[in-house]
Amino acid sequence: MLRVIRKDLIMNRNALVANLLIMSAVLVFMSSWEEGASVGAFAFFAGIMMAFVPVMVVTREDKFKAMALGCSLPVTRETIVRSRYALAVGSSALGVLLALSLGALVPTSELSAAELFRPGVVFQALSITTIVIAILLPFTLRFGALGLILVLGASQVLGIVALTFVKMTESSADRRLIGTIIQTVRDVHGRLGDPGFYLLLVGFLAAALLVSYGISVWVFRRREF
Amino acid sequence: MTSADTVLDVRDVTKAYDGFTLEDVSFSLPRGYIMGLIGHNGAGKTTLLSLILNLVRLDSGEIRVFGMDHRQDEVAVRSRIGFVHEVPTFFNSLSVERAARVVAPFYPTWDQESFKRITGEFGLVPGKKLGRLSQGMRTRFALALALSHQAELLLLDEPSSGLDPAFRRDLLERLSGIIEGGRTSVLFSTHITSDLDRIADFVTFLRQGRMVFSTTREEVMERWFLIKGGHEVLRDDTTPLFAGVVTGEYGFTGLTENLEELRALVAGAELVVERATLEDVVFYSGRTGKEGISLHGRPN
Repeated sequence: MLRVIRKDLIMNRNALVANLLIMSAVLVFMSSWEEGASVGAFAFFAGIMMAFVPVMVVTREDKFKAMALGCSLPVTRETIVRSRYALAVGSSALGVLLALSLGALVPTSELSAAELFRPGVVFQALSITTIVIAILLPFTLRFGALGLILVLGASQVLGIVALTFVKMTESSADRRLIGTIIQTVRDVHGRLGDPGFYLLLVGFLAAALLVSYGISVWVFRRREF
Repeated sequence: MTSADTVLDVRDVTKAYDGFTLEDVSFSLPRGYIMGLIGHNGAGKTTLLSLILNLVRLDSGEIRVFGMDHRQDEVAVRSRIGFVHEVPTFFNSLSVERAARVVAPFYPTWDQESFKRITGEFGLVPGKKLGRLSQGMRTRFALALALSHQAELLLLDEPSSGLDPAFRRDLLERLSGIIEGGRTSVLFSTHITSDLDRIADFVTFLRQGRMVFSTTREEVMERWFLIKGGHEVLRDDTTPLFAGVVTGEYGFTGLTENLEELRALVAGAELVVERATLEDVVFYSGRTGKEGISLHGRPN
């Protein structure tokens, strides 16, 4: 697995660094908004944006049609998938920590370092990045760059449908749903306390990754080049 | 041939796509020999090589490489295979040297000195970016990778297309040299049949996804004939003896492996008989004449 990760890192080094810089610049800009800069929104977007950095390894491979080369090497498809997940989780976690550090250290930032490095905020950003990776990787491993477009397109359509439904029915179902989710999470957090809650969260994220990994192995074994 | 001598054994391999099926292909390649895979574009050559590398999934049949199942033992199998894809793809931003450093750790038998020597002989500059290499140079690079890990089976998909004639000849001589030790076998697809005239020991011919024959080059040369004659020779009883015919205003040219039978049926008719070259076999096989005679090649 390490050989595959090494290969991916060497092959994508420049692109990874470039993407990381672009994402970081956007986040620095976000943190510097005089009005409206919030720790929660910053952590949310940091989580999402850093999840896209490692996913790009797969889409670039697709762009250069280099997947056939990778799959012709003496390595199983399962090992390739495992290394993709290891790289994705590792690099996006580092990316999230880098983003939070930037938000805390950049002189123009309106966000407080103490707030940004509260366990709740760090866990929020890491949870979001993990969930985005868990959703994106099976699609990108199966369909390459098209998979990324499919997920983004489907999210847009889903959002438009939900907003249209809410608008047409003048319902507040969306707000109620989000409110219920937030309240449930708070209730669970309150009941379990910090250690129990974060342990449960880690367990949930690990399960999500495991399910995603299983699907990815299944689809990638069937992919033809 | 014992199984220990057989490097590649392809049995009843079938793979179906929309509008194309590679059907019931069987052949074997002994250790230390070169087999050419010939056929028109779209005959199934690349599909077959991709199946051996497990890049596409078999619908049915079996492929054994070095006596091992190509799927169950894919790592062991691939570590002893060198490959050149039809369009070698690497990341353009990598240099020759760096790309080799990426690939080398996957092969326990990688020989860096061999790589340096071969790239030197191939005229590849170590620091040059792959994106700046021509198609021919990229093929050379892919070949250098394949040759630097002491592969026992080389799978080359159209390696000579895109190469200049001098390097093509050099490549063929190199392939001949590689098998001299008796350790390495080569399976390479090509539509340049003159390449096979020079070096192939065995020839497998695919047409529209079906195997027409897989045999020694000598047998092909001995078995197939090009017949030229007048239209009167093409009768209901003689037509099925041809694997392909092209007709013209004054007569026809046909490909047959049934020369004696044909001669017996058209005794007295004026026929010009020539030994068919591989190019003739590929060109005429399954061909229908411009006057629309419907003929069929008969897979062995």
